[in-house]
Amino acid sequence: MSRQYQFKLVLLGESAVGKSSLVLRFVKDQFDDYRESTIGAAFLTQTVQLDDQTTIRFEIWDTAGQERYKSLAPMYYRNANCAVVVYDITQSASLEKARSWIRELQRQADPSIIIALCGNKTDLEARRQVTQEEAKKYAEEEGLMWCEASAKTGEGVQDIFMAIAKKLPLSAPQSQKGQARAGGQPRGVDLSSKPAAEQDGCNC
Amino acid sequence: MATSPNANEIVTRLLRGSEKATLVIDTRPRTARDGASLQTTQEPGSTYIRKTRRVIAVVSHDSNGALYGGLFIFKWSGDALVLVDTFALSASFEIHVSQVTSSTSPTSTNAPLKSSVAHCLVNILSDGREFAFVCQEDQAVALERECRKLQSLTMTSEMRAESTQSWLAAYSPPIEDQRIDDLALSTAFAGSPGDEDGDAILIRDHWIQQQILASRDAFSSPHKLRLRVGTFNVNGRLPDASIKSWVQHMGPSADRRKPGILDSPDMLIFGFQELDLSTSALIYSTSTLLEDTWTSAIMNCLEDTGGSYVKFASCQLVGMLILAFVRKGQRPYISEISTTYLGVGIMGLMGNKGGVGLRFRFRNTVITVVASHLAAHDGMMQKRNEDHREICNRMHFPLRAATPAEAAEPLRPVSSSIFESDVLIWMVNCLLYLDNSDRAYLNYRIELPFEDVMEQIVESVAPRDLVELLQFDEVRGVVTFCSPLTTSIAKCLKETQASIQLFQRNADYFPPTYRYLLNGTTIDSKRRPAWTDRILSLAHPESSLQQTKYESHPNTLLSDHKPVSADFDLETRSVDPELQRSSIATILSSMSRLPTQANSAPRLSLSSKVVEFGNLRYLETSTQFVEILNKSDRPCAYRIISPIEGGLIAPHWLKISPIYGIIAPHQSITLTLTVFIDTSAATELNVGSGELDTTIVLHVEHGVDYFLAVNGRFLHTCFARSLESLACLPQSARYTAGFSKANETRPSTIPKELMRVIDWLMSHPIEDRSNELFATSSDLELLSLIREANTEDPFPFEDETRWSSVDITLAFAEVLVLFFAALPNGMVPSSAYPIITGAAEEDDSELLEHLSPVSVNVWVTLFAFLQFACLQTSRQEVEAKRIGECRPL
Repeated sequence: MSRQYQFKLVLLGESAVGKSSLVLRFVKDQFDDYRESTIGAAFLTQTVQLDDQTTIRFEIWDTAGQERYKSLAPMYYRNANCAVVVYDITQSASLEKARSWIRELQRQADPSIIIALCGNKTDLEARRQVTQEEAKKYAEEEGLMWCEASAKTGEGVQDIFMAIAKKLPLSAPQSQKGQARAGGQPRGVDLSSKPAAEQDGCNC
Repeated sequence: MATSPNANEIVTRLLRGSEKATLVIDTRPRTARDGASLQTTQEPGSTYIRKTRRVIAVVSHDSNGALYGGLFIFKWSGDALVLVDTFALSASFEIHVSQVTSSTSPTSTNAPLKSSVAHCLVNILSDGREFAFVCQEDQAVALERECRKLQSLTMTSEMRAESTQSWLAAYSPPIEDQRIDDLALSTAFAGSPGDEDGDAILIRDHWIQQQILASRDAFSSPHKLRLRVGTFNVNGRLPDASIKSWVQHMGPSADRRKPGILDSPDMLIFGFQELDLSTSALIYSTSTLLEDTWTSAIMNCLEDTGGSYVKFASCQLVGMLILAFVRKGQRPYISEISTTYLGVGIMGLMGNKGGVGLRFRFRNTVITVVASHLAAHDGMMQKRNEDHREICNRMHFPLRAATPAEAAEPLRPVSSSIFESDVLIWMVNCLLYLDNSDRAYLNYRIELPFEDVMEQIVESVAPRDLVELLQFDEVRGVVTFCSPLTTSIAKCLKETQASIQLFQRNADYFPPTYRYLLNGTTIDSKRRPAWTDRILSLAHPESSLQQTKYESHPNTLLSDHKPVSADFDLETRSVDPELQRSSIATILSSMSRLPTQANSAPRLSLSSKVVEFGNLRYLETSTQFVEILNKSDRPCAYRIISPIEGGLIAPHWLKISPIYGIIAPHQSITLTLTVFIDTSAATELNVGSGELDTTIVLHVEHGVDYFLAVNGRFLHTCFARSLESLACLPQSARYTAGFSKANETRPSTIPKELMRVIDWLMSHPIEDRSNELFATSSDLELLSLIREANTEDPFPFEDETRWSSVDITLAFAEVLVLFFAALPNGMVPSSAYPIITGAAEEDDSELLEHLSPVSVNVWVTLFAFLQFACLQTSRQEVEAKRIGECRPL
C-alpha cells in the first residue's frame, strides 16, 4: 500500500541568494535569469518518491528575504517541519545572514524542525567567497544538514529535498494529510512523540 | 464569596480549555434580598456606576505547565457577557485597593443594613491603561490577592520562556473589524490561508452576482409595481361600507404615459384574521363562503376606483385568509403561484393560531406574503415567540415544476422557505401592549416581533444555501415596522443601536389599533390599548422596495380592531431570457479557469510595494491607491488577510477597500487605502515616535501572499494628550516625538495651547450670535487651521476674508470642546467619581483636591471663561450643557 506524507517546508535567507530559483527548479525544473525579487511569500507544492511505498509531499513557503519583512517571517516558519536556509557562496555576508536565521529558528521555531543549510550558485565557482569547509564546519557544530547547489544548472537541487525527505520521521499517521494548510488549527505533523533522527551533515 | 454563580458559569463558558477563571467578581448591584446593593438604579446620578457595572474575572492560562495570568473585564448585555478589556498580569500590571471612607461610600445614603458592607475602590494600571471600579471589600481583597499571586507566576513563566501574551490575543474585545465581512470567509492569516477552495468559491460567487447585477440593463428593463398591503382582524364580522378607505388608495400612476394622474395600485394583497369566531372554526375549514363574501366586498370597492382587477390567489386557514388582487393587464406577469398554511394552535396543529402564506413571481421578483395570528393575551410572550419561530422554520411553499423538462431535473428544489424570496411582507396580528411606565416600553420593545424577525433571519439563513444572500445589516435597514414611535420608544431603540432615523423615515404615526368599542372610534377603556396589527417588510438588498405609506383606518367601524395598510413601490424587471442566458454564460465562463490548486496561481504586479502616506494630521483623512495587475491569463481570487494570527487585517487607523475580490486576466483593480487618525489612535501615537509602519498581506487563493508596506508619519498634536503631559512639554507639541515627562522642565501652570484658545475666545466677542456658542458645526478647513496652528506663531487669521470673525471665534469654541473631549482620561480622576455622582457627601469644592495642579488651573480658567460667556448670552444653560457633555464620565 502506498502512503503519502505531507510536510511543511520553509525557505529562508538573505535577499537575492536564490531561494525562489531553487524552488522553481525543484517544483517546475525551470530557471529564470531575471527573476523579480519576492515581495511576500509564495506557496508551492512538490511531491518526491521516497521508495515504492512512500511519497512525500512538500508544502513549500518561499519567503521574502528583504529585511523590512523580517517581522512576518515567524508566521511562515511556525509549525514548519523543515527549513532550508539558503546563502550565496559568492557573498560571505549572506552566510552571516543565514547564521542569524538559523539562530532565530533554533530559538523560535518548533524544536523538532529539521534545518538544512544550503549554499547556492555553485555555477559561479570562480567568484566563491564561502569555502565548503567553513560552511560545513558551522553546519556540523550546529547539527544541521548541509549541501551546495546550483538553481541555474540544477546541480544538487533535487538532492537537498530528497535528503530532507529521508530525514523526516514517517511515524505520523496518514490522516495528517491536508492538515498543513487548514486554517486556525495547529498545523503540521506532531514530531514530539518520537525523537527526530540524528541531525548531521548530509552526504551530498 | 459574593460571586454570582451565574456570572461565573458564563465566564467559564467563554474560556478555552487551557484557561480557567480563578476568581469572578460580579459588580452588578445585588437585588434587595441580597441585602448589599452597591447602588440602586433609581438613585440620581447613578449613571456612572451603572455604566461601569462590570464583571471582573482573573483568568489563568496553562501553556505546558507555565502559567500566565490575565484580568478580564466584561459588561452585561442582557444575560450575556461581552468582553470589554483584558489586562495581562505581567510586570507592568499594578492593582491598588483603597477603602472608600464611610462618607464617600456609595451606600452610606442608603438603608442602614447596607452600610455594614464596606466598599473599596480598585484601580488597575497597566501599560498606561487604567480601569477603576468599586466593589465590596472582601471581593477587592480576594481580587488583589489573586492578581498578585498570578502576576508572580506569570513573571516566572515569562522569565523561563519568551514573554508571551499571545493567548490573550484570542480574547480581544469585539471591535469593528473589516475582517467581519458579509461573505463569512474562513479564518486566515499570514502563512495560514484557511479554506482556500471554499473562500475562492465565495469570492467568485460574490463577484458573479455583482457582474450580473452590473450587466442587468443589457438583458432586462425596469418596471414599477405599486403594491398595497392591508391587514385586518375582523372579529368575525362581515364587511360593510366602511372598509372602503382601507381598500382604496389613490397614488401617482405607475404608468409613465399618464403623468400626474392619480391611480389605484397595481396589486393589492389583504390579510384577515378572526374571519370566523364560531367553535367549529377551530378545526380546519375548507368553506369558501366567507372568502367569497370578502372578495366581492373588496371587488366592489375596487370597481369604484375605475380599475379593473382580478383575484389571482387566495389561501385560508380557519380564520386566517389572504386575498390577492392584480390589475387585469398585469396578470400575465404573475407566475409560480404557491400557497401554504401552518397551524400552531392547540397541539401545535390546530388552525386557530398560525399563519397562511402566498408566494409568487411577478416578472423576475419573487414575493412572499405571510399573514400570521399568534397567541393572544398578556404574559404569553414566550408562546408568541415560539409560534413566530415555528412559522419561520416550518412554513414552506411547494414549488411545482412549470414544464415536464423542469420536473425531470435531478436537483430541482421541491420547496422554498419564506426567506427564499426577494421581498417578504409579513402581516402580524398579536397583542403587544403599551402603558405609561418606561418599563412597559421596554417590554414592548422586547416583545416586538422585530427582534425576533432579526434573530430568525440570522438563524434560518445559511448564506451558502440561499439563492439570494440576505445580509443581516442591510436587512435591518429595510425592516420597516409600523409602530407609532413615541419619544420613549425611540430612546429604547437608540439604546439597542437600531438606526432610529430609518424607522422615523418609514414609520407613519397612527393611534393604537386595539381595542375599540364595536361600531365606534372609542377605545375600550377596559383593555390596555395596543398596536396589534402591523405590517413588516423585508427585502433582499438588491431589490428596491420602498414603503411609501403606512396608516391605520380608524373610521372602519365593524371590528374591535382597526385595519392597517401599507403602500409600497417595488421595482421589478422584465427579463429577456435569451439575452440573460448568454450574458450570464459569458460571466460564468470567464471564471472557469479560476485556479484550484497551488503552483498554478496567477502572479500579480502591484503598482507600488511601499505606500507612503507622508505626514498625517489628527482628524484628517488621507487616501492612497495601489493598482494590482493580474499578469496571467487566468482570473484570480484575492483577499486581504491579517499579518498575525487572530489580528486585524490592518490597524484601526487604516481602511482597505475592497478587501476581497476577483481580478480578471490581464486586468487590474484599484486598492484604496485610507488613513484616518481618530482620537484613540492619536492618544497612542502621541506617546511614541509617531512613525506609522505596517504591512498589509494580500493573499491570492492557492498562491502567493503579497506584502504591501504602509508608511506614514503622524504629526504630534496637543489633542488627545493628558493635561499634565501637555503642561510639561518644553515646546510645541508638534516637535515632541518620543518626549514623555521631563523632570527638568518646570510644568507650566496651564497648557499654553489651551490658553491660546481661551484667550482668543475672550478677546473676540461674538456679539448677537452668542447663542450659537458651542452649538455650531464649523467649516472643516477652518477647524483644521486652528487645530494645526503652531503654538509659537499667532493664529493665521489676521487678514482672513474667507470666514467672518464671528465664524472664526465660534470655530475656536468648537475646538475647545474637541480638546476636552479628546483628553485621554478626562479631567476628573476616577477617584473623584463618587463626588461627581453625588454618592459622597463631600462638598463639591473638595472635588478640586482630587485634581492635579494643572487640572485645577484648567478647571478654574475654564469656568472663568464659561462665566464670562454666560454673562454675554441669554441662553446660559446651553454652555453648561455642552461642556457637561464632553466631560468623559
